[in-house]
Amino acid sequence: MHADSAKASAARVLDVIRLTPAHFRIDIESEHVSAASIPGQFVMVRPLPAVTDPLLGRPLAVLGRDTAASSFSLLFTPAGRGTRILAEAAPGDTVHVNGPLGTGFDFSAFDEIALIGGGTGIAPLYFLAAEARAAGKTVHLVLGARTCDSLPFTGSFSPDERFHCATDDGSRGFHGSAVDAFFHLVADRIASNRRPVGLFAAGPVPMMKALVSATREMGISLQVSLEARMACGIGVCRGCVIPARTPHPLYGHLTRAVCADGPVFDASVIDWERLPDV
Amino acid sequence: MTASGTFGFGIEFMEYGDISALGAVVTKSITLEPRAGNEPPRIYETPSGMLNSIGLENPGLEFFKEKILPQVVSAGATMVVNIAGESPDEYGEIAGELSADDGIAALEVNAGCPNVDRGGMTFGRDPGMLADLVAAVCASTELPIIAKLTPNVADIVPLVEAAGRAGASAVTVMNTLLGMSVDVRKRVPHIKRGKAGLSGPAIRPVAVRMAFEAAQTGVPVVGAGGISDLDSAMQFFLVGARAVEVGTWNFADPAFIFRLPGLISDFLEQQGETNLGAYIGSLKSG
Ligand SMILES: Cc1cc2nc3c(=O)[nH]c(=O)nc-3n(C[C@H](O)[C@H](O)[C@H](O)COP(=O)(O)OP(=O)(O)OC[C@H]3O[C@@H](n4cnc5c(N)ncnc54)[C@H](O)[C@@H]3O)c2cc1C
Ligand SMILES: Cc1cc2nc3c(=O)[nH]c(=O)nc-3n(C[C@H](O)[C@H](O)[C@H](O)COP(=O)(O)O)c2cc1C
Ligand code: FES
Repeated sequence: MHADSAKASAARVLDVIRLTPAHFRIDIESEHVSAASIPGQFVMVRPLPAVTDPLLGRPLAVLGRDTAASSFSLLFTPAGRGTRILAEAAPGDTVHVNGPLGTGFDFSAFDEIALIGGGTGIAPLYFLAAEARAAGKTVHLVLGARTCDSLPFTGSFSPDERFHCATDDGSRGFHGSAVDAFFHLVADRIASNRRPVGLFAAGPVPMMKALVSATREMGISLQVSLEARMACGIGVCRGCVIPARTPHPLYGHLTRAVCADGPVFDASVIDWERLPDV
Repeated sequence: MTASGTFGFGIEFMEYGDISALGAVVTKSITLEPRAGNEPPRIYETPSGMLNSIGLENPGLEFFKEKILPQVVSAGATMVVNIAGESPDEYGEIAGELSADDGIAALEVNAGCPNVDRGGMTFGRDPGMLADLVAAVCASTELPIIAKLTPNVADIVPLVEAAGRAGASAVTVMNTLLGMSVDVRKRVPHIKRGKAGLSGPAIRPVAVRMAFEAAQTGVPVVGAGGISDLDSAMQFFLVGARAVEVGTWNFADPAFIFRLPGLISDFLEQQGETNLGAYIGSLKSG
């Protein structure tokens, strides 16, 4: 009788897997999220039965989906209480899921795409890589990490000359940042191909600022996925707004809501100078 | 009803339920001119609650009237427009632009926003100023007026009485409780402006107490503050509120508010009540 809506409802946890010491994957049954998500979108997840502390859902990007199983996955690093509770979930538990939410990456205009990421924000890039490959695109993936082994799924991407891992210590992979690795290993190659190329980035703000200033001269399309503290995830609380360079298409303000206008933005929309690093 | 600032303009929730089935959709506060709001960070989660300092970000009266209102009205929602300003004249000017012809059922006057430099909470703290504000709005419109009060006062009763005498049909108790939280390592406030409004279940007992006190005056009360389930909604009715608003919990579960009317009916049946009116204010002494 008091049914939930398809978009916000209880969902069953199918599996929780510790992929690396820092990364967990959780598989959740949801016909709606599985059918409707596109790479870059996120869901708000809360424990059930409902508690008031933690109060708000936690935004997590969709990592991938299995439409045959009506399920989707998230990749997360336990950061605080909300994500720790999620890491302790067991198959059969239920969680509250609201989503999919926000905008996604648009790779339709490109034949070849390069994905650059680092930190906990890399989940949407894996989803993007999978969907773009399925659509026949050439996909380069450059991920920054402390060590290559600390990245999840390196196995499923290597050996592939289009996957690069950049590390601080250079123990394996490229020695340096993901942005440096992109310029040293990928940029020349894709430029010489003379095909429509798009860049997609997700990760810490300083990394994205470096990427934005390094690519500004290149005149190349760059879409970024941003994070912000969120309460509602659907554009109503106005808690997640960030500074923008261009007026909002509807309201005219020089701001954007990360949850509803993003989390994926064209990099030229963001006022990077005024965007806080955290 | 929905609490202002937690339900957008209603349109955003149409994927979660039928907004025409709600008691009313109360909009985000509308100001005369568009407002971009405060610098981030604007929100921070606290135990069973959250702090916000949004700064009344909204697209302004003209945009609201032309682009948003018709959409919500055509969705069949009972519309209560929440208004905010910097002076009684400004509130009056906004009220004058909004009428029943536009499909609006009532105005809620935000006399208690803690997150702006001018206007906001100052009106809601002094009975005389509040009365002037309510009177100015009532003089500009035929619509019923609900005065939304701030809890950041020593005694709410004189304010409720002042609003009632000045012509308010009801009072909403309450807006957010002024709070603050700081990062002990970085040594900065968690919210850019420092102080911010606390909402959510953490403030519920304060809100129930204030709704109880307000209801004793005889002025109709709309209860708000920390409603997150059936029990918490019924607490406000039991202490005398005639209606309730769900706020922060819309963020946690955007479908909850659509289930609430059904939950209330089931509860009343279990309690052997034929209607909500008989339950309202039926609190027995300890
Ligand atoms: C669109 C989006 C997608 C995200 N995708 C992923 C993902 O795929 N994998 C992943 O590991 N993390 C992701 N994050 C970050 C993740 O939401 C936070 O790590 C998480 O909310 C922390 O909650 P907590 O209770 O564990 O930590 P706490 O520190 O206890 O959280 C306290 C509060 O701060 C907020 N918060 C803290 N850190 C962040 C942050 N970086 N971004 C947004 N809110 C934050 C929380 O939501 C909560 O309200 C994403 C964030 C956003 C906005
Ligand atoms: C993010 C946020 C924005 C709000 N914006 C407004 C507003 O614009 N006008 C207003 O009168 N009240 C505003 N409020 C206050 C709520 O309407 C409500 O009175 C208060 O949050 C207490 O209810 P709750 O605990 O159920 O959220 C806001 C509250 C929150 C959390
Ligand atoms: S999280 Fe509420 S507007 Fe973005």
